Amino acid sequence: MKKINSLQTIGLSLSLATFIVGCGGGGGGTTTTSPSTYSISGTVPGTVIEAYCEDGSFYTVNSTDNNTNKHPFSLNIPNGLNCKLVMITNETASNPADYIITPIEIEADGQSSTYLTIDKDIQLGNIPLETPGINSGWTPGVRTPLKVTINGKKVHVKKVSYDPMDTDNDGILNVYENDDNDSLPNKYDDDYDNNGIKDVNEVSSDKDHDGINDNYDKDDDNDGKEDSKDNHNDNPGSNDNDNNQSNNNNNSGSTIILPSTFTANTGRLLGSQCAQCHGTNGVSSSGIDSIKGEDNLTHEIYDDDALMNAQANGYTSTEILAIESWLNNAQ
Amino acid sequence: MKEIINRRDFFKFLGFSAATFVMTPSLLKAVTIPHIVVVGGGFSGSTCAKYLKMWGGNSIEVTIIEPNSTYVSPILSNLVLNNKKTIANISFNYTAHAQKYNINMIHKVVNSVDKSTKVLTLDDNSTVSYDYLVLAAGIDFIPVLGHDDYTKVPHAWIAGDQTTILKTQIDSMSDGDDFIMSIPKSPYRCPPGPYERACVVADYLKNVKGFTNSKVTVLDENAKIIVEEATFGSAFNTHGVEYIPNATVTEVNDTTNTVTYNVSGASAILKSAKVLNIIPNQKAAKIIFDTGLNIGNWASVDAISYESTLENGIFIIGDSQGTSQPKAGHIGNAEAKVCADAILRKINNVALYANPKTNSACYSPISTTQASWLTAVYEYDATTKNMKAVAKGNYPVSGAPSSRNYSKMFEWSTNLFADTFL
Repeated sequence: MKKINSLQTIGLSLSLATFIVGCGGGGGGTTTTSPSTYSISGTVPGTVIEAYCEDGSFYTVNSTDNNTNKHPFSLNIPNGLNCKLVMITNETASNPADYIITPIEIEADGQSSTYLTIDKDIQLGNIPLETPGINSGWTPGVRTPLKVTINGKKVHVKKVSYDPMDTDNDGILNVYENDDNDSLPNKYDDDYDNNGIKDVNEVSSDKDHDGINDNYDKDDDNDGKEDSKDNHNDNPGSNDNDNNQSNNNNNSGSTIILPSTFTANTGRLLGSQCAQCHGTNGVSSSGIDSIKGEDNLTHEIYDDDALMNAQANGYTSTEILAIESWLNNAQ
Repeated sequence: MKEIINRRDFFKFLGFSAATFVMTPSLLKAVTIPHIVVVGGGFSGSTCAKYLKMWGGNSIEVTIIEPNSTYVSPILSNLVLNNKKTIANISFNYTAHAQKYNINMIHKVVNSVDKSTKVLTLDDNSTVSYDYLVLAAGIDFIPVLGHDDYTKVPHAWIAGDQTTILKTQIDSMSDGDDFIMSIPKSPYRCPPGPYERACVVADYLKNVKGFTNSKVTVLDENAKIIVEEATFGSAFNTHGVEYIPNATVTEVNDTTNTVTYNVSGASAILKSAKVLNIIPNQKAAKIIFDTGLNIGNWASVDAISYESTLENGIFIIGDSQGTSQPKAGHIGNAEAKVCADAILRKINNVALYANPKTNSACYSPISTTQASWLTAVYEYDATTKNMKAVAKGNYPVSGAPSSRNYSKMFEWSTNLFADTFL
């Protein structure tokens, strides 16, 4: 579990910060509406660039060969979603065992993590990945994370004590672990646990081995197409998130913006006790009235409904004013 | 196994990375986002996880560990028995938790909790570490002698397959067949629930099936109807329910479908019926006992935060906690919000809110068209560290059965379900 500790004790690494320079601002203009995706771009040797995101979605692009050692690439990932980058060189090898697979760790403003969230286009600069054309004496395989430094509040990184996509927390994604210790990482291994049963025929709740249960994995075969748009889902038995349950009580189409920090709020804490009947944040889904925006709770709380009146008697006038203040100002 | 391979791979690549300046193991210590693990995805656990993320957002990481990917609500489940609802109508999944609130979902069983290292071991031997742990694992049963096959003598007190089994048995009854159910000694999950069930089943047999010769008998281990006494007492009379208080069930025979009980310790009485619905006495979930967090049958907590009085950093909400509040979904949801706020305040070094309040409310169907209700507001008592009903409310307050209350019941449940699962 705490494998990362042993990596940290070995003091021979040189941060890539020393040779990453000039992280340009990219194309982040002054638009008023937020795009759904932003681009990560940079230059690499011939490379496949992959992003694995916390909702199970998967994005990939090949760098463009411009006859130099610095091929440009640009990969779009969702706005505000935590994603992990992996770069693959020697990607034209016929056997995936010959790939050089490098997870990317981002250091940003003193924080360092393999989770990256962007809310603007970002430039990684040139990333000197190990590659056969440039480095002699290379060996194929999965590398420990390569650190790329981006300063100036351009990206957000998140270090977690439990990481579903990297359950042993060693910086290598579950898909690139090699659980059966053969020549192939799990991602390319058609029998990742070497039990003689092909993965496609196994009963599993996580067919793509990314650590995200197929019920909640937007791309549960990691083919780069969201399941709802995947016409030939090559993952038998997989669930399409649009109708993966036998009931329709969870039609939760709306999205919310989660706060970045916690701020204590007494009115919100007291007012959250109204939500069992009046809905989360006072927004009702039934015939009971919504109370969000209520500006005269002192009067309105003594309703003609007997149950509401009984509840109202449990609160002091100070508490009612605190709840009203929150309801009236809640986003 | 993974660890061994990684170590080997790491050393294999070590020389290479040193020579070329490419590999850089992380040297920088970043502030790690606290990880809160919620065990149990019922009303209290699901609400707690949702509100932790709604209020704490990206400053925390939240994981729910819950064996099942579908949750069947005990609330409204008696309406499956009389065909007013289906299991699908009261089933919920965790899609909103995973995709709207970015909560990690793990559908596995927790086998053990190591309190000193703060590591959970799951049933596939994988481990999950936590910084704060919320146990919302519901109830466990204390079955009497012979009550060891719940598929033959269902309790139907955890909704889902048990509900379906009881429904199937009731529908196999013919006119003249009898139904016997038992009510556990308080405290148990959902105080009005068993009385509600007796009414719903008696009404269904009499008024939907048209049976005139079948009898519903209620063996109540309590001295009297413990909630809404006037409502349920009156409904028992109307429906012709035989109500026996102080009746302690001592043995079940699932071959002859016989229940043995005594009244106030007097000599044993045997009764047989086509359908037995024995609801065992209850205690906190097994994980509470396994983790050494119980005092008596329930988990001891300080209701200002629901933190265990026996172990810092572990919080117990819902039916396992041992405050004087009733055990039910609506108030489990209420406790969860107080707990979520308290955990976030602790993480952020903010003083706990000194006067948290919770409330209970419950609509109970007593037929296919009528429902009653019951409600109370609770406040924190800093002396006892427990919750008590607010004095000026004269709680609990109840409302008589009516068809208006029957329709209000669904308006209430719709928002309660949404506040918990959406």
